[in-house]
Amino acid sequence: MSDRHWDVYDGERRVLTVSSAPGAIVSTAHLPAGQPARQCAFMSATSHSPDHEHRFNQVLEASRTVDEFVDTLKADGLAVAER
Amino acid sequence: MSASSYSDQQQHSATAATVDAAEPAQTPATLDMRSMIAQSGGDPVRLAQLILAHGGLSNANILNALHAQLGMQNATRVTTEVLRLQHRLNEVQSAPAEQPASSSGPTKAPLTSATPAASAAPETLATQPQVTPQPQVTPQAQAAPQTQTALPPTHAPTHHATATHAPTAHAPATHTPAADSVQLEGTLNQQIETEVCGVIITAPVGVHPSMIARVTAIIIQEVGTNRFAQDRFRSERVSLVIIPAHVAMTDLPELAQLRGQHTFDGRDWSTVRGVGGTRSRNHRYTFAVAEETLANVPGVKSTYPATYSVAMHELAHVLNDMALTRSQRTRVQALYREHQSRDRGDAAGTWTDQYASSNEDEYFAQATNTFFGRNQMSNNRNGRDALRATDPGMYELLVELYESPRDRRGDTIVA
Repeated sequence: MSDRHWDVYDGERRVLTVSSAPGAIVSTAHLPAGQPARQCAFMSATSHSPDHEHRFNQVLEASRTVDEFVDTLKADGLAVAER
Repeated sequence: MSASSYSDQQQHSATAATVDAAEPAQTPATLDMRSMIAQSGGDPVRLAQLILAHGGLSNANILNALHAQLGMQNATRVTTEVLRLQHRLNEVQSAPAEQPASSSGPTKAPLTSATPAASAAPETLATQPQVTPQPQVTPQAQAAPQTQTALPPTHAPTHHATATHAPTAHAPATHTPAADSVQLEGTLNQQIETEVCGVIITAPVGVHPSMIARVTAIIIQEVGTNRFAQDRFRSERVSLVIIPAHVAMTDLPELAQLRGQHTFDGRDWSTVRGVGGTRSRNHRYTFAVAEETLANVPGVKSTYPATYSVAMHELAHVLNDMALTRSQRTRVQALYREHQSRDRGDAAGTWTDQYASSNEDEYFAQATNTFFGRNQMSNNRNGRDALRATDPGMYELLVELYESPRDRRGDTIVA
């Protein structure tokens, strides 16, 4: 089964991209040299908005699947579009 | 602003100084500045030349005195002129060692004295008077005008061009890149703002003033010939904040909204030394880099080697977010997919690493660093030759993006 991908928007602005492929959790804050990116066993994602990251981190910590993660963001009022 | 438009304020300041007994003690820099203002005859360009001859922005006392004497608006105008002259001087000085015959992409005709301001200088100066040689300037200040007649291609920068140390009376310019360290002769005692190519540079109190010239050089490298990007940045109010080496990012008003919060990957924002674009309370689209990532600051350890540029990386993200044309964005996406199909990031002998391979945005930003030779963080290959050899599609895109002048629609300008 191929990976699924979502774009998450706050209004017109894309604030997050998510993939169902396990992998890196990428912040807008540059990682120090040599420090590996945080890995997630059930999804990968890249933030595009520093202001949303605290909430993204909370939701990630509370989620066990990518669907749960995405559904919580929807419940928060963000627009989620699957590619 | 006309050449003499700050004269009234200058006169006012001088008058006030003579009657205000409570004025702070005059420093040598204050006296120097008053003397230079008088010598300039009210011409901001002439004043900029004089400041450059007295050490440019390497001495905070001069910059502080400039603001004290002229006020924020006029001081910013003069500061921008100094930066432009510095940049031109740096390019000329580094040019002979920087002309790789076969690796700089399309050949560009040398610029003449009539064109450099329009093609590579900060956008805000496009309508300002051209710098003209002044007969009585000091030898160092004369260097810039003298070389205008045969400037090298300013839109074909190489990694050496990121050496941004201002030539000063105490540190004669050489053809080698300046050492990546600064002697702290003083830091800003008031916030400085200036605009370069659509990017508002904010240097808060405590920043060493040479950092302004350093980020200026990077901005000009990435968008100096790209009118489309400059217009987009201006309309989005893009701002680059320099984080003082001894200040937490979240203690700056522009980024205070992140205080007490964590990044997506769980770090405390107060420990982070650089960030991509965020909407600040002043409605600017702000990104930030720490000054210790721009140069070695004594007593402060950077989390990045000097061979890596965080500022270049973050600006590339802003460019990617705001100022790629639709076709360019499509090409980046296709190139990333192609890259991922053959290399997940750890293949030996390539320019990429796991970070560059994590998504298409990091792929683009890291490629930019590689293109300019500022991506030596791990065992990846660095430099445009490595990029061209291992990722020719991305190399071609970046040559177009960074070395081909673009009009306001993003189209390449054909000479």
